[in-house]
Amino acid sequence: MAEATAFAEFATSRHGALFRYAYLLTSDRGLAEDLVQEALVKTYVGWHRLRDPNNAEAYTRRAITTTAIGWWRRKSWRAERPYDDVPDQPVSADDATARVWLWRELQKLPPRQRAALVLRYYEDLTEPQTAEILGCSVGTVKSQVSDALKKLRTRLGSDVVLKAGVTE
Amino acid sequence: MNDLLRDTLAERAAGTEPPPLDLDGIIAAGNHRAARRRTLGILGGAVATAAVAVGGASVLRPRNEQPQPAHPGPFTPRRATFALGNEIHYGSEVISVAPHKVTAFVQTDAGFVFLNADNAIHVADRAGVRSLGKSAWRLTADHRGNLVAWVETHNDQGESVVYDVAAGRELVRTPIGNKFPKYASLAHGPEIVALDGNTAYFGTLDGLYRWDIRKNQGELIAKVSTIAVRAVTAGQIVFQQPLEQRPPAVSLAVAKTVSATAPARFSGQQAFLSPAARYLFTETDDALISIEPGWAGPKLYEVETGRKIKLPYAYDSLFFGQWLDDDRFIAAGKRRFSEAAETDLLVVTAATGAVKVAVPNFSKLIFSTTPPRIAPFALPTGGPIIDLAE
Repeated sequence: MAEATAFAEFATSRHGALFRYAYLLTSDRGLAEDLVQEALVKTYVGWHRLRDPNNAEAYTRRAITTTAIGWWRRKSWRAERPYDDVPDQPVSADDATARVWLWRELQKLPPRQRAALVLRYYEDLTEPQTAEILGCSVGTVKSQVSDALKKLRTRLGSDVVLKAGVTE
Repeated sequence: MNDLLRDTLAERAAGTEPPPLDLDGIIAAGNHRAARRRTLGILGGAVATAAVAVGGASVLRPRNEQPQPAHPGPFTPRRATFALGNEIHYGSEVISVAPHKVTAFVQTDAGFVFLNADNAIHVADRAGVRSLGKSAWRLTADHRGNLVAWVETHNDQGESVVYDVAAGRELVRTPIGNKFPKYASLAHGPEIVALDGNTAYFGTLDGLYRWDIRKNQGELIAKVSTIAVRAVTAGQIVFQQPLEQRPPAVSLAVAKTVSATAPARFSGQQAFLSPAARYLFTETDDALISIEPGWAGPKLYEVETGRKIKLPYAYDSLFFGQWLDDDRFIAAGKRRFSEAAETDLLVVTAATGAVKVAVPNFSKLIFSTTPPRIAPFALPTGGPIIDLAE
């Protein structure tokens, strides 16, 4: 009963943040909802091993990420979708259009690269923390982030939006 | 560092509101999965492994469509409650729903459900506010329990919805009786008349449906207009008499079945029965009725005897809030002769009509000059206090 209460507190307090993370990975509310639900079920089942809410958060994010990667391999949600609202080229770095463009291009990245970017640039995690969640080495995180930014620069034009993309 | 990337991610994350957390479903699925693992651990073998793979998908999103047992919830006690701007005042506790402004709300045992200025439905509790992603004109709740109901209006039909706030899921969604006729302008759209325990009453275009929420099925019990039946509590139905008439339709009967022969012993438009149907409070639809006919004004009755209970003279406008129990209810009273329209939140003892001021001058009974002319405060009836200017 105490475990269920502790889990309920964790899930209630972190559900919003976990959903947003899942949404940034998938860009689909329904998939994000399913991902979070599945990840929280896994966390609940393994709660007695986690104990610390900090461990639970990292575990749940890892479950979201690995589940998303697994679904991405099997399912068709990576299929490209038409975006009528996207202009031909971004206008400037300050323009909202650039953010729309970048969002669309982010969705074309493989999930592991997208996850690395989200963890580093949205969650502000360090490279070791990102590696922990992705279940890989720090070197792999560096290469995933570097490759992702390189793709974005190529697609969007480095002069326009991602001038400082690889610097820390 | 890349500000654009950060901004893009932050903007997208902030722009998506999390859905309700289905905590019961997650725990149920987790328990189910853990129990199966224990069983499979005994069975072992490849067949068992395959069963996990297949069964795992089936429990991903369990859907128990039954209403949950009535465990005491965090908001089970009914208190002197009102909403003002972006705050819900629950007794001495203040729950902020900023940046939303509450225009109408109800209380359930699991939390408050409110409409904002865009008529979007939200749930508020001590953990915060979440949008249900739906909209409605008004909300309906029972005296107790976790359920709330509303009608969603689409181009060609309306849908009656019953939602379990504690479980965070819909129990009923049906378009039954609410197909809109082509090229017709409806004087009164479909409504949820009442939630009464595990029964919902839908005021549809075809008539009054009684809906068994547990079985998710119902029956048409009276071919009457959407507004003919005003309330149902403890199996007692408040309906206009005669059944077919145009508004204001203020003669009301209370009976266990809707019939053309039940005597009209009460008067009013909006009707609020006490939890055991012992008392009936009525008021007009229009908060500022311009020329007051005899039937206008709040009224309080003892249902069994039809006795009219005198309300305090000190207040010239009285708006029902909710029943605290079968003997007392809260109401907002505008002080008679107050030029500033000072309004008190009151606790009214039904048997005598005696009032006790719970919150003095909590708001003013004033209305804007442009529509929608709704009062600056709301009470937990599910609808706004509105000046129809008719």
